[in-house]
Amino acid sequence: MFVYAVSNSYIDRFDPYWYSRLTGLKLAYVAIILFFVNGFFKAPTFPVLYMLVTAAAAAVTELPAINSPRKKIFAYLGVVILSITTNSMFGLVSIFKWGLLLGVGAWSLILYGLLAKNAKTANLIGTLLLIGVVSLSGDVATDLNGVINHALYYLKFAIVGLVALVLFPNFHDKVIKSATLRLLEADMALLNKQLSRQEFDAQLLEALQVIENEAQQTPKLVSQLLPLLKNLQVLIRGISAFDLEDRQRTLGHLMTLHNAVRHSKPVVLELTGKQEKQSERASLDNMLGQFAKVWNEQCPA
Amino acid sequence: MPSLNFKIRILQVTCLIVVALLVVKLTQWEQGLWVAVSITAIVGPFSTSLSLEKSRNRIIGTIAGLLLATILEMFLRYFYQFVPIVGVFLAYCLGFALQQNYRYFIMVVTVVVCLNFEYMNLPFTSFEPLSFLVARFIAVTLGIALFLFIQKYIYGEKNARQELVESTREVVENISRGLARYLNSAEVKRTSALDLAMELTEQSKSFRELLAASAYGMSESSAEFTRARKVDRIRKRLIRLLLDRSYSEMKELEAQATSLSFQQLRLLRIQKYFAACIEI
Repeated sequence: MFVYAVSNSYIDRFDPYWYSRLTGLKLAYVAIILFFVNGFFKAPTFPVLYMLVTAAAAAVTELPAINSPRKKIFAYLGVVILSITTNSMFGLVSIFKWGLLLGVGAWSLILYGLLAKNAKTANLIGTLLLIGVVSLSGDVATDLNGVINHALYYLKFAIVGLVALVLFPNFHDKVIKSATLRLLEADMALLNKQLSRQEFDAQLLEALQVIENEAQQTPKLVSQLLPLLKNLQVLIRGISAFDLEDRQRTLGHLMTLHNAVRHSKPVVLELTGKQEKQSERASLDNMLGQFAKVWNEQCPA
Repeated sequence: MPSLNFKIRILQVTCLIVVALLVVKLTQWEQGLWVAVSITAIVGPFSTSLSLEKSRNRIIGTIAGLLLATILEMFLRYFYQFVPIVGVFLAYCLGFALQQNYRYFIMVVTVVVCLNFEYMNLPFTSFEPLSFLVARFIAVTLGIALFLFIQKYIYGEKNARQELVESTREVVENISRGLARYLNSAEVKRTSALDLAMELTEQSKSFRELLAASAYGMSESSAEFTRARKVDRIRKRLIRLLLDRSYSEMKELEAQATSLSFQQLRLLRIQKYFAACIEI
């Protein structure tokens, strides 16, 4: 099914590193769980609002900057707590004639003052305030009893969401596989002279950063694959003049690796050991061989 | 210590949100909350130039989102048993669009928020798709117009310029620090040229985003913009040089030792240039 496949030629154009597919899958899964929960433990007013807070927190956990299980849980709890506080505060002050203006202004100042220093958290404030403003159109709690009642319902959905997120399978190997595919594609395009050196550099750095960013999600895979991929890229970039025969051979190997990664299958490379020990050809063959070995040991699902 | 520019921007953003709510309060308009929703969403990135770029994308995304929401709402009115399926599909789309172009994201968000609003007010919803479309479109457009007016004519360009200057300075400092660390012989073994290139690229991500959006916030011929582009060109050259060097590092051949020291000299020259930039 396309939502699980490592590579889909059409979707890869929009989502080269599987991040969007992963976030989409996660949110759809959380939505299904929340719909079931609402079916059995119905929210007193509008379940959408409670779900919106949980969905926003779940979405935040898949941002590239939130790259470890610990960070994900902290980010999730942080967004939930701030969202509940924002919604409750907006509700409490909305009963006064000018209270909403003053309350929202003061809370915005506090949030921006605390969180906007970091570019990564600055975006979050807008989302928190947005959910707060949207919540005003629902059943607003304007007394303490109502606020506590609402907060408990928010928490109920949030706890279910957290359990769901903790139980969500680790699909981060697909992010690494996608990034590896992009690297291999860039290598082939460079050898075929379809990519300029500048474009290749940008692609190389971006894909390597994506893999490095996954170090805490899939430590074993990254620790074995990343050094090999780095060396392979540097070598292919550095080899200035391939003769035609060598180029065709290397392209063949890269294509074999690409197919193996794309379909998560083991790979067999036919590498000849006739080259001189110090030649670039030998280094490249050695690296491709090592990559195939690591791939066969670690990756095929 | 946050800069004065940062503090001013916090006040500007807060004032924008308060003004939006004031409009809602004064007009007593039923759909007025969308003005506030719109402004809150636009000021999300905090930066002036990025907010201006976002406002442009928002209007396109909102129109597409409203059209989709109208179709979906008409569909759900007659086939309400599909609400959970549409909900799960929208959740997937929302997650997918989160890391895409803001235009697509806001399109999905508009659909989700529109359906949320309708769902929250079910007994009172008139289910008149045309008025639904027009009222929200007017409110969103009013929000964007209000934001653009205040940003362009009251706040002006100064903040956007200052932001770009600060971001440029940060990039220059990062490069300078990274190069100094790299050229320190005791630490060479710890940081490879490729790792440094990756680090510098990651650190300059927000600068590149800001530079790409700066054309919306200031004149392209301004000195700040020209300097930032110059620094970006040098950053790219340096990255290229570091990647070239990573090949030499890997080979570790005697023959390349000469070119290696030559490249080191070039790196030093670039470092001196950056030091001069910081002084300026």
